[in-house]
Amino acid sequence: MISAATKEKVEALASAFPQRRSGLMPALHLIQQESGYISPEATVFLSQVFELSRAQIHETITFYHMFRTRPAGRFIFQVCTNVSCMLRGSEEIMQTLSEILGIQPGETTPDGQFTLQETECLAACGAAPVVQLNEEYLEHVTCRQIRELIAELRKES
Amino acid sequence: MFTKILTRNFDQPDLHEMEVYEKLGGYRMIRQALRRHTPEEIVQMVQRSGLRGRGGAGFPTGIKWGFIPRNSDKPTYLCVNADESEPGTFKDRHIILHDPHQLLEGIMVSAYAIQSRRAFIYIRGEMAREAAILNDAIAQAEKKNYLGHRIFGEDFDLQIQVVRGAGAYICGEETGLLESIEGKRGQPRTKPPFPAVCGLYGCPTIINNVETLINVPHIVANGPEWFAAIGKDPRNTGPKLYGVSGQVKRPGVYEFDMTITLKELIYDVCGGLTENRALKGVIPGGSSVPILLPEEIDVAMDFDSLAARGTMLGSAGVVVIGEGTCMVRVARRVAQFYAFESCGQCPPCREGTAWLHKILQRIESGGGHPGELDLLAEICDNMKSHTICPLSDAAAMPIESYIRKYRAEFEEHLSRPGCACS
Ligand SMILES: Cc1cc2nc3c(=O)[nH]c(=O)nc-3n(C[C@H](O)[C@H](O)[C@H](O)COP(=O)(O)O)c2cc1C
Ligand code: SF4
Ligand code: FES
Repeated sequence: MISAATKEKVEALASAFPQRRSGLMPALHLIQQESGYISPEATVFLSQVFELSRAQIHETITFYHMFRTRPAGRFIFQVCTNVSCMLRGSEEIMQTLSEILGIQPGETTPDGQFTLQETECLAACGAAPVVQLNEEYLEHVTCRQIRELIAELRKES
Repeated sequence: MFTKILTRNFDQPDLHEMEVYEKLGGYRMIRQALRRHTPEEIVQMVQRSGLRGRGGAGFPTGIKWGFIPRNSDKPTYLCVNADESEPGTFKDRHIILHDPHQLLEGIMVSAYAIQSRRAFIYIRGEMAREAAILNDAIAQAEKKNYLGHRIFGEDFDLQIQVVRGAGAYICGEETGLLESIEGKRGQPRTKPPFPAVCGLYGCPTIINNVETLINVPHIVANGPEWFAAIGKDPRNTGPKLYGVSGQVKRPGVYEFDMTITLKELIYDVCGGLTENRALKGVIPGGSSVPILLPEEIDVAMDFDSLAARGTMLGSAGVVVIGEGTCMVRVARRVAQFYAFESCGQCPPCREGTAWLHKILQRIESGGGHPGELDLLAEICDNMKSHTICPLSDAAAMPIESYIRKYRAEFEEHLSRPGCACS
């Protein structure tokens, strides 16, 4: 479901740029932020607002790694495994997360709480290894910190 | 002795607040630019300063600005490249996190120079916090009429909008970036026409890197001669940010003039390698550039000195690799990145990046075949210069350099399974 408030914001985005379609990316972000993913219903709504075919909307969605067409976990861990982080132990971080959560990179726990992903350089290499938890950057991450964090998040959920 | 220019205030608390930035002299340079100089004068000053783009290619900024057609009846756009996705690069994010108003001031002066009344900051999607910081700074500036209609009470209107990407390295390429702002797939366009003539929405457009633009107000305030004298070499002028990461004791973003050597950067500035490891190699400018061996690091960190060594300054993201690291693994990880990020338009790039990754993966896990190193070199060769954008070259060049410079190690991997390096 897209809330009325989000619908209104999306409609405003359609006229916020010199051309209508430029509002599409910001609109996709808004919708994903609210619902966790871009549903078929959202695609229909966007195609009406931006006067594009559903295929055109889909074309944009699928090009960008961040947009999801299926729901993910409540807590999404993205481990940067690119070179600077690799040199600083990101493989161990990934392994620790994988063990504790009992899932492989790319998977979500059966209870729908945690998703684990490998990601590319996050432009925070000076603070390697870096993990992104939802929108937040965790820097200079240690395995111990990961264990404590997961324990905390499990209590919360 | 080099005195910091761009990052001099970065340790001031609350620098992202308008009052703090202004108290430290902020938004004086834009006032000076609007009151004392014509747009043409500023373009000429930037040309005389010798400023070269900090996004990777090192193209002279003033010359690029000069390509904008005069008397066009279309609007001109300024697009700020804050996509920062080149592995090993983290300077632009550092600027935005610490000093968003300095970027806004850089955009204001530059937009005035090219007579653009609308600017877009294209920031990578992962940087949600940084986008919020920029939006907050823009709101503060709008409130004081530093943005909007007749900014600073002068005869110039300017609107700045932040546009978030959504995870695609190729949107850092300038025409991929334009496609993305237009709400489309971020696939690079064939050039010509160049963006300065036909860019965003078919209008004249200038795309510049974040770091490039924050130099501009300083050039206007202190004069192009002052700027050109920083660094002692007329082709490599002005201050430069270096992001050093990997196995050094003090990783971080550091500002120097371009006379600093790679060796000084690693050993004097960053304290040498962690656990006092021996150095194995250095990537001097982001993952797209060829690697340097320990005996090659006594080189000035400027565009031309690094080119003379067969590599590039690129994004000035320095990745330090110590002994004990497996170069086949480094090569595989770099190849994985380009295979994942190729936009797929050009067969040599789409196929080549996929093959490099697949073969290197196989070699890493001990399943490589003799002769595959030559095959890799041949694939790299076929990937160069036949494509719409430079990503294909950027994938081939580093891999080629790893194989050439660490050939024995690659051969070792072929001759027996497992890794003898660690
Ligand atoms: C694949 C690819 C990725 C790029 N990524 C970036 C980037 O993240 N940031 C950037 O400023 N330039 C990037 N560039 C360079 C831009 O195309 C362009 O040259 C630059 O933004 C121009 O600004 P400058 O002249 O101020 O350096 C990239 C180029 C390529 C080919
Ligand atoms: S070289 Fe690669 S990334 Fe660039 S346009 Fe061609 S396929 Fe896309
Ligand atoms: S390599 Fe991990 S943040 Fe850059």
